[in-house]
Amino acid sequence: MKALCWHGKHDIRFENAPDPKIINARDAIIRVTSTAICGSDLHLYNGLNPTMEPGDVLGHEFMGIVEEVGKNVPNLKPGDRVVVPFNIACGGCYFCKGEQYSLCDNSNPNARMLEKLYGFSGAGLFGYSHAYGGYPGGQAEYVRVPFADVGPIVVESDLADEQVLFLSDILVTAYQAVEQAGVRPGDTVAVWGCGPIGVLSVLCAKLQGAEQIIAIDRFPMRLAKAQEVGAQTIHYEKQDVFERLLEVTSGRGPDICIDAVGMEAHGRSLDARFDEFMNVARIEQDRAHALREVMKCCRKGGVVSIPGVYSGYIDRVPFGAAFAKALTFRMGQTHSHRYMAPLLRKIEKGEIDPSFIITHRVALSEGAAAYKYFAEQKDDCLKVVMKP
Amino acid sequence: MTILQKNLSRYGAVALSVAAGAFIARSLLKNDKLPLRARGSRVVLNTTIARRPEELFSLWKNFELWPFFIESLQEVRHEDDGVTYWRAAIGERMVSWRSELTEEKEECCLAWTTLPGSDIEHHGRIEFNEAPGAHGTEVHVELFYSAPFGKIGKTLTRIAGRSIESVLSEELRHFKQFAESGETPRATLEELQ
Repeated sequence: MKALCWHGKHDIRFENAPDPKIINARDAIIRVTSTAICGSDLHLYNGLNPTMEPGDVLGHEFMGIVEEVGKNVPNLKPGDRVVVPFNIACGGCYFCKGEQYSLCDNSNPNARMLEKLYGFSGAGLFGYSHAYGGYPGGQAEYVRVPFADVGPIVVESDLADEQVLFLSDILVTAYQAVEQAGVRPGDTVAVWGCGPIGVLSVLCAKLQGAEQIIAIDRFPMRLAKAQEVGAQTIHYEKQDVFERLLEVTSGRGPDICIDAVGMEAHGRSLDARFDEFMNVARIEQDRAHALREVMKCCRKGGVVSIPGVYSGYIDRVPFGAAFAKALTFRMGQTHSHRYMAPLLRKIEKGEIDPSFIITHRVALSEGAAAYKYFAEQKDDCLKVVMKP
Repeated sequence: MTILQKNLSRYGAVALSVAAGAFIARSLLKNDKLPLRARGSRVVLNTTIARRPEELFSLWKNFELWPFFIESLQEVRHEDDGVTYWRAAIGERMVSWRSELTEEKEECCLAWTTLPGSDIEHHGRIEFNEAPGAHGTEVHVELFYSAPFGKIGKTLTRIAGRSIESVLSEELRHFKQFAESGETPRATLEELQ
């Protein structure tokens, strides 16, 4: 089969990869009909994950048609149309039973690699490095889905791929980012980063009853997208974020602050410049300027929610501010399986349609070029959907 | 002599006696006449499994299922008089051993020892205790092993650059995965070859 494979920093190739086969009884093979590039794929593209190997098949946002199932997948049959969550969960461990699917004990065959780094390992992920299991991803013609009796959700309605594809990651991630912060009537939610997760967080904050939503970025097109779904905006290169947030909250600060930026933050402040230096010098991988600003801006007793990905040690975190203001932190990979069914129902009822964030529709064979212009923020690229 | 020098010489004496003790202990460990507990290596492993103790007890005791979750096991079969025969591929070598149960408390613990003539001499004990809350069962394994000297011994001490302890800990993880999910997660087919 053909797939998008990683070969090194800024080196993605559309090439032949091994055809997936059923290995375990709970596996399914999916013929991919639509797949997307995630902002977190850019961390791999930019060479930030040391456990990628040349030839690894990328992609964790995908959907398609069931081709074949193992003998213990009673819920699926060939021909079913499914969306697959980006993380893999066994359904039987303590965490899966508690609906904390992204913390699954059993789905990462290389758990010991993450245990060395973090003490414990979370769930395996599709196409996201060997530390996260080494599973071939879904930016391919076919993909093997382990624990297929737990993950994939069947789409029976005639909704377009583009309307349901984002149940695989960015919609459920944005939804959890808002939900775990516990929005209450009258709350102001501030969202750092107007990439797909940020913009969908604005949408989900609206859906969950936020009074006022403020979105922060530097790209006019992205700010416009956030505005389209109900946010006021702050261009952080033109306005002082803290001052502006105080203005719109009458000196209180936002009740909920969402960091939808993660480890590759940009900025012109001293700390952002220092992060860049530390990054180049290979002393520190995560550039956490957005997180520091979030911690400063959040109101006393507020909630900081972090869907943005961080990977290692972060220097100069204003922990004193977090302590003094009694902040609550919520973070982590998304428990996708928990949100897929309720959000599919909302899409079917017409309450949400996340397809508005797609800016580029290309063939999978053009994927390598798409990675480049998405990473370089060219051509107002916000979200790329590819068809094998 | 300054206080620092005094302290240094005191610590030096302590270090010397520890080193001497270690040397004597090491010589003793090489003596085959000592019991395994004294001359062998000890491995302790712990995990928590989201199943009931009685379920895990019967799964563990069902030795013939083990090759489903422990890759290196080629064959496990019951022989007469409660003896079990085990054959495993370790690196490129085949090793085998016979073992028998020395303790069995229903739903709680099992202990076993290998019989003379085994390639890998060991004895061990596993306990299944109900965990607090909804965690299932706390599993505690203690194992003493001694590999024969020579080529096999060397192979056994480190398998593909990993310590015996890390290999056994991975096998216990496979038991947990099998108990909780019914299979061992695999990323690709190549891993099986």
